[in-house]
Amino acid sequence: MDINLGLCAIGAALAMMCGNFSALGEAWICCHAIDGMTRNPEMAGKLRSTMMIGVALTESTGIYSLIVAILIIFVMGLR
Amino acid sequence: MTFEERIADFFTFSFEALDAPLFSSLIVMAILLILAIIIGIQARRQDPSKPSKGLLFFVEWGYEKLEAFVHDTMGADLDYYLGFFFTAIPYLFIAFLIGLTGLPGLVDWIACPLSMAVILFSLIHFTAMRYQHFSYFHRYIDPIPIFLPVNLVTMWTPIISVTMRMFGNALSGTVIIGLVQWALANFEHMIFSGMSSDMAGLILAPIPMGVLNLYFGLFSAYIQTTVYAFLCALWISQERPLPEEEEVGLPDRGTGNLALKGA
Repeated sequence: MDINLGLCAIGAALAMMCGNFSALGEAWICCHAIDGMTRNPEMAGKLRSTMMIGVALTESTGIYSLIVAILIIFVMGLR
Repeated sequence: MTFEERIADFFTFSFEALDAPLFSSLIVMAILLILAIIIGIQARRQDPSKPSKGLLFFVEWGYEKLEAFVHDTMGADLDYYLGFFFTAIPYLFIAFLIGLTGLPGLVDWIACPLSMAVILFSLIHFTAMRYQHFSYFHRYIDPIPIFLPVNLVTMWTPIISVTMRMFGNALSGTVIIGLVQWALANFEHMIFSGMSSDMAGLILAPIPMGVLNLYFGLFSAYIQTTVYAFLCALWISQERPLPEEEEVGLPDRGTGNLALKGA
C-alpha cells in the first residue's frame, strides 16, 4: 500500500481529533443549561433556545476539522 | 487556455458549463415566488374580521414570530430587516431540504452558503456605514493604528465562519449518507446474494436512510437556519449605536474618552 495514502489517513484522523474538544464544549453548554433549567423552570424555553445557538456555534469547529479531514482524504489521498 | 481564449470564454454562455445546483436554487426561488403570489392573493381576499385558515394562518403565525424575533434582537428601529429575514430564512430552510426531493443538493454546493455569507457581510458593513458614517473606519485602527493589517484580515472571518458552518453541516450529511448507503449496499449483497439486485436494496436501506435524511435534512436545516438568523440579527444590530451612545456620541476607542456632542 502506498505510504502516502496511510499518511493521509493519519492526518485525517489527527484533524478529526479536534471533534473531541467541540464535543466537550457542547456537553459543558448543555450541562450548564440544564442546571439553569432546574433552578429556574419558567426560563426553560429561553435557556433551551440559547443553548441550541451555543451548541450550533461550538459544533462549527468540529465541522471545520471534518472539512479538513475530507479534503485530506479526497483531494490529497485519492490523487 | 491562452489569455485570449480565457477572455472569449468569459463572454461565452453555455448551459453545459452551469452547475446543476444552480437550477435547484432557481427552483427554490420559483417555489417561494409562487407561494408569495398565492399568499398575497389570499391575504387580499381575506376578510379581516374572520380568522384566517390554511396557508395564510401559517404565514401569519410565522410573521408574528419573526416580527417578535426582530424586535427583541435588533430593536424596533431596524424592523425594515423583517423583509430580508422573511426571504432568507425560507430560502435557506428549503435549500437544505431540496436534496431530499432528488434534485441536486444546494447547501453542499459552496456557492450557496458563500452567497448567504457575502449577503450578511454586506449588510453588516452597509448598516455600519449608514449609522456610524465616518466613525465606521475607526474599527480598522482599533485599538492602535498598527493593528490595521490584522483588522483588514479579521474583517473577513464572518464570511469564512458562516460559509464553513453551513457548508460543513450539509457536506457532512451528504458524505455520511453516502458512506452508510455504500456500506448497506455491500452488507445487503453479502446477506441476500441469492436475491436479485433490485430487491436486495429495499430491505435494509429504508429505515436507516430515512432516519439519517430526517436528521441531516430537517433537523440540520432548522438548526442552521436559526443560527444564521441569530447571527445576522446580532451582527447587524451591533453596528447600530445604542440610544445612550447616540446621545453622548460614539466612544473614542483610541483613548477611551467619550466624545460629547456639543461639548
